[in-house]
Amino acid sequence: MAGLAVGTAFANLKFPGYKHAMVMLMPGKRADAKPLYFAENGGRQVLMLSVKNHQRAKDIEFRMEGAEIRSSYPPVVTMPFSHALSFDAGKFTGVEFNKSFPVFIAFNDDGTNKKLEIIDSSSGLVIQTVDVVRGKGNERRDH
Amino acid sequence: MNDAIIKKRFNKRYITIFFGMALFLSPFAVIPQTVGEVNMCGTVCPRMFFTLPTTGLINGFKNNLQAEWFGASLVGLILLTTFFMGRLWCSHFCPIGGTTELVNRLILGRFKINFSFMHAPAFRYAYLFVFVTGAFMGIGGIACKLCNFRVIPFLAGSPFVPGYRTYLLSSAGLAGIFIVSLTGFFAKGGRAYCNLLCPVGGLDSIANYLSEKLGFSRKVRTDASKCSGCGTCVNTCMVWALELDQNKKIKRSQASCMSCKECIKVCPREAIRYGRA
Repeated sequence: MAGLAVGTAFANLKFPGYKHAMVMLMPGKRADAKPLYFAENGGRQVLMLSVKNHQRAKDIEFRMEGAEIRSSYPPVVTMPFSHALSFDAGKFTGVEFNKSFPVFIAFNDDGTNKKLEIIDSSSGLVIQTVDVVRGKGNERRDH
Repeated sequence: MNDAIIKKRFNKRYITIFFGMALFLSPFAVIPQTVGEVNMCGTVCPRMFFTLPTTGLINGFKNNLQAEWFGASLVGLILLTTFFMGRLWCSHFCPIGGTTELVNRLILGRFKINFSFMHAPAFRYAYLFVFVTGAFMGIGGIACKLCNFRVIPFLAGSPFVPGYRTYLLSSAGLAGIFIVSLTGFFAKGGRAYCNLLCPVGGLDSIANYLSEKLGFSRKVRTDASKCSGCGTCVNTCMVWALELDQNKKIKRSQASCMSCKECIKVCPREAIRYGRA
């Protein structure tokens, strides 16, 4: 009976989705970025992006409608010698060329595809736009 | 109060573990911040650089070393220390295994799972092989998804930084918490993850084994004339490196031994010592 109860509970439980992908920020790469895919099982989805800065803008903002943009930055207690990035409300500041940093995007799957905009927040120019698409897509991109 | 009781109540090893936690984990994360990180991912990652890259062996390895140079240097230092002094990193400084061990001490014994039925070296090296070659088998994701060096720092930072909670409340985060809880917090001794699944621990145990064979490493030695075969040390060993044979003689696996010296502290007849021959 206990086994049946646990089985039933887990059968109805929807685990929040998760995808890990790499995003390269390249100069002039605004329209041809490959899409990011997330599972079509509904509910809460989390995209964990390892973003690598290969362009010159140092202040970078991430925007996606209806999504929370988060990161592990800034440090809880900033040490005097810290070289860690600053991050607030979706905006990173002081991102050096070639620096990798994590971006966590949490949103609810409402059955539609999304669009992630990556913007140079000092000039307001779009660095890159990435389609966030429901479905499996190219598995090799995710890891 | 005699010395033995004082030794049991106050474990000096916990001080160095707390020191390791303060250096590597939130809220201070002192060492990661020196290289622009806030946890043990990115440049500080000590695990990814020795996975076989699918983008060409030499170039891929070179890229891994560039990306995770700090983690690679740390692992180099750990292996060197182990070769000459035993597994001091794993037993005394590792903030990840140390955290699981300390949390484990707060949990009642009846809720703990004893993993000693598993043959640790076989499982450890099999998983190490899968970890290193995972990318070729299309399961490279396990390197990060089952990573204790990610889950523990994220758990430590989660009360302060919302981003950590975002990750931990995803399916990968929940799977990571489950694995670390099962093989860490709720495992007897709190070190089953270290003994079975940690790739750095796997490399470290190889270094310890080789060092013993070449006569460098210190190791746990039992004085057979003093040993009564009571088995207290066997029950205390967190990584089930000790076992009693049919003649009530202690057998030791140097590859699994973590140099924590807990067996020395609990031996009622002071039959165990740690050192060179």
